[in-house]
Amino acid sequence: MDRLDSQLREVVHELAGQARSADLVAGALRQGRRRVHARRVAVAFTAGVAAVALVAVPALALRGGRPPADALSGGASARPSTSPTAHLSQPASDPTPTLTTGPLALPGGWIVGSATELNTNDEAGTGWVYDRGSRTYVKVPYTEVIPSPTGQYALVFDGVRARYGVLDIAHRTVTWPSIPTGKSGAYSAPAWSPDGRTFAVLSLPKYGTFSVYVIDAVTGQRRQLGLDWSRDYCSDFCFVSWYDSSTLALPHADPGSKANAPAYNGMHLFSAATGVPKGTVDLPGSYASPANWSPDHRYVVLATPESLPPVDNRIGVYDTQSHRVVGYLPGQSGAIDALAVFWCADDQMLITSATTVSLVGLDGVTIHQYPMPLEFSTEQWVILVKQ
Amino acid sequence: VDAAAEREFTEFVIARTHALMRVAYALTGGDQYAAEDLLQAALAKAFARWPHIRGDAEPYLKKIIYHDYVSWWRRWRHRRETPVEFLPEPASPTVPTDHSDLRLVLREALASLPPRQRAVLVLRYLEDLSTDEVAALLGCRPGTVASQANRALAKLRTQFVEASQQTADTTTIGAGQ
Repeated sequence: MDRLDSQLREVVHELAGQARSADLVAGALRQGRRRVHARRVAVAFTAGVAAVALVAVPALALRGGRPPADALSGGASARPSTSPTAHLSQPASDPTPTLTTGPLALPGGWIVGSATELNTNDEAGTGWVYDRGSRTYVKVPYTEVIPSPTGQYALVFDGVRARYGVLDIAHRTVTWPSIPTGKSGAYSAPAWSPDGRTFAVLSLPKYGTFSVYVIDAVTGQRRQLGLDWSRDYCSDFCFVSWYDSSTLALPHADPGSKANAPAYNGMHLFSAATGVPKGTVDLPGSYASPANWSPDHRYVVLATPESLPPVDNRIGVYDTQSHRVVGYLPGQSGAIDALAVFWCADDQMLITSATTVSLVGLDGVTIHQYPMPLEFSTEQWVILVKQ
Repeated sequence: VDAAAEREFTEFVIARTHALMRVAYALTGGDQYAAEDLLQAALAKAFARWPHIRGDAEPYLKKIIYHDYVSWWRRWRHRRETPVEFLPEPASPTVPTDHSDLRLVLREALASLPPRQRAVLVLRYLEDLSTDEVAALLGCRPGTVASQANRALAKLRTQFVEASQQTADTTTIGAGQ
């Protein structure tokens, strides 16, 4: 055993020995009971759907296959769903698609834009991204693939060297823009601008203040925004998102909350060009991206403070008119994902999870689940883009 | 999960929380809140399956913790900080001067490793597991474990050697004064 070995063993044991005791019984029971309850609901729902399938599937076969994707969205005038049985006229199961059959179409004009294996044994990672030119999915060796809204580029994460690059999907080339990280070596994940030409990233120095950079996807040129960090911006769980094509947003941290368990009360808005403040959005929680707003801007999907990862699953649909949460989104452990909610009507959205894409109503009830392609044999991080 | 199973689960949590916290704490690089979150989520998963767990539940819990730690970090990375390739430069004037400082450098270097590499080292140095045992627990090939460990140790060694050299230089300067 060499000196590094012995020192490392000491360090790891010393580190573990500093863990403080915690009373986790009540929290684990509460969270565990919720998991049991959610599983029972899912089983009951699946049983109901299976019963209806006996009627629905032959009818579909007679019509010649899968209904048009947009027909499933219910349209802008559709009423919020009130119970699982309200939508049982939906097809019970779709034929399992494959990556060779073209884009995976979903309601609201969405398609599967990318998927990345969550638990791959491959150090480099494995992902797929949709190439609009060839109308095929391209396999890429990265641990994250985040397509731009236009589908021309994708941000890819090199898990070995821990850096983000810009993949030109048509030309299969990657450039690696420099993202300053000061002396900390940390940054939040990048967020594409709505036009897909730039992306914003938050650099998190250990010493000194955070910085927001806006980086041109083509040239790699970056612009550092001068922000007044004396304001109540986020502390931990900080991320930058685009509010609109010229406005960026950061979570507004409640100054009375703990740094390690911050409470958020909406977002601070500032110019993406200059960093000049443009006001605040008051909400009882934080939202992850502009995509979390319904098309009519009445509803917004919020992560309430206790839902910050990886604890809980209190992702609410907040009604800005009645000022109340009208439903909680189903399913996955963890918090809301900046790229997991895709509205396809004013009252329905698609939620991506590790194995499926679900059509969900305002009340959080799953209306329909879309299977992932056969090639996605393991859990995937799926991101949708507009067709 | 009936009342008896719930009582049994509660007793298990009370008895084994601290041992499991040690693992979660080491994995999260000494972040008490993140360790509690990680462990609580793992306990909740175990509770939902408690009637089906036979024998000692602790190995099962540890498996959930390691898996959740690696996959959670990947999935939610974009909501959190992403460690990058290069390690933090120690802020002046914290040039390591003795072995406790060297351990601090090593601890920071460990915290900056990608999660799978850190998990491999924690399993190896805290839990004293063999390469095959680590591979079985993480659900990957032994070769993958070996290469992850090699990469991680190479990074740590670079930092450690540099810090050791600085310590030696400091000692020499001190001795000459």
